Amino acid sequence: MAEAPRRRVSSLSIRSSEGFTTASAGAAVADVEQLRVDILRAVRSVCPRWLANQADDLTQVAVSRILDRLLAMEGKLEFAPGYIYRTAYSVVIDEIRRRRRLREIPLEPDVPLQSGEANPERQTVGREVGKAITGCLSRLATSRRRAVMLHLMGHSVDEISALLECRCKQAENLVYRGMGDLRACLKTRGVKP
Amino acid sequence: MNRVTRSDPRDAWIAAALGSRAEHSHPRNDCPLPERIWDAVRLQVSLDDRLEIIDHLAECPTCSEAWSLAAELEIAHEQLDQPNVTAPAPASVVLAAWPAYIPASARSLSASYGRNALLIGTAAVLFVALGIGLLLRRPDAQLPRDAQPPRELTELLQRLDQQVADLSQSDFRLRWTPGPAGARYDVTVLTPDMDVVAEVRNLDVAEYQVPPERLAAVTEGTTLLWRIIAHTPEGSPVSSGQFAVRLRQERPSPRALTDPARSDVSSLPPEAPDTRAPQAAKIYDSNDADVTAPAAVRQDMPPFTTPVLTERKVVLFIVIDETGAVESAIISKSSDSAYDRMLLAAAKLWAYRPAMRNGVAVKYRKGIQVTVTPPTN
Repeated sequence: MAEAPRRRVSSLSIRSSEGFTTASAGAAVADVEQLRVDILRAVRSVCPRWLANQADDLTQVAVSRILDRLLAMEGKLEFAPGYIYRTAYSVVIDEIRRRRRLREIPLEPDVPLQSGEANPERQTVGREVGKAITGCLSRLATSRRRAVMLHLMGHSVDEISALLECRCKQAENLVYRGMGDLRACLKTRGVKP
Repeated sequence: MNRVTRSDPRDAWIAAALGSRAEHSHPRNDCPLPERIWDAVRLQVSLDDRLEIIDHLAECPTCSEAWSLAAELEIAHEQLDQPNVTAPAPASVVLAAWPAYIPASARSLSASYGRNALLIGTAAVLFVALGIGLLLRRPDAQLPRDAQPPRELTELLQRLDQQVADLSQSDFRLRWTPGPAGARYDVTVLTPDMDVVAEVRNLDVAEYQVPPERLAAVTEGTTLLWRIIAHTPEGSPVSSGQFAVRLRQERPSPRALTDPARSDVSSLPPEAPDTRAPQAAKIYDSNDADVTAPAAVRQDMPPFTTPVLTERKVVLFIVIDETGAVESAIISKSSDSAYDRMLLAAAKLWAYRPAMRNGVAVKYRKGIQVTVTPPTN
């Protein structure tokens, strides 16, 4: 089987989503540019809509992180394509957290923190419902709460069983009973679908 | 008990409300690093760490949003998430991200083959659905005596034999489902003894006609094995499984030979030049006591990313040529179709010190058993 073409510049190498590209500490400007393109693609796929206009800045941060790590290591290094996505993800999540913390600072009111669909009434209701759900989740039995959380975040029963390392049937049971408990708890708090 | 699914409208409403918590939330000071969340979604942290993070999610909307984002990316880039994998096997990273290539000839000539493949795939998925845990591998374990060829290969051929199409020597045309535009294909055709009958690289069309002279040494009725490795425009290789096709010897009808007026006589294939494939070198195996077995120089196993519940075994036979390269590979005992393809692609990159007989390097057929066991904790 023919291996994907590999370009070598200096001693540092990165395996990117486009096959194999390389980057060196100083000389390979073109390779760094290719890395930037790869990371930009990764950042865009990670970025929530309300952060999309920051994709270029976040890409720059991610490129810096990767190059810093490369420069800090001696000899040849190879990263699987997932590494670029992992770095992009990490940069984006850091930014999301930073922005959410900034909301406490009133001097920056222009930061686009909320989705365009939100309106004050909906936000208030949503906040109350969110609070009720959080409260009810905390009252669930631990194993059920874990299964329910994963279920509500979109995981299938198979995935839940893998994440919790239990049998599928057990995961299904935990989700079923946990959701029943959650609905009952929400009902007592006046929240129901 | 009713199966709980996300299609339950009540769950969807609660899930939406849960998701909207993030908009109004503030990150906590004890949030796990994003990398830990990323790794937890991919089962790359211990169960205790994972449970700790999942417990945190219930109380931290920002982190539950981060988890959901990582999970979405896990689906989109399922096979691109093996950090710091040093194995020189780009195929192992991307293989399962692409659909398997099903030969068109196999589909059209034997519908049952496609159904069987689908059933096998479905069974594999169902089996995987039962699994939990991580991978512990014991590659290259000593094969039990009864797992040595030719029994395993014979059984494989018997299974395949019920699904094969017949093709004639003069029109031994293999076809398969085309890949993305610009894809190129490598095709390998093997005898049951795993001798290479034909091998071609960089085809730009989704079909290949084996030259008749390459089939001259193959006896009538022989079942040949073939597979395709497709290279996408980005350079990512994708390997198919093994397919079987039987050689139907072509015998011109008496009428065609005796009726010079027949218009189609001129269309008969030209007489094959006397350039028969050279006699293949003998392939030795563990039954040959006077042969020193090859030693592995590079034998990197692709990662088995699917959770497993019970022990699973994959048995692979490879033929190592006189230079120590892997000439051909075949799965004789399958466990997971996606992993089989990854293993076959990886096997082509393995390297060995060649087997020796009387000081001369010889071809050698080696059986490798990969055992996948669930975690002990």
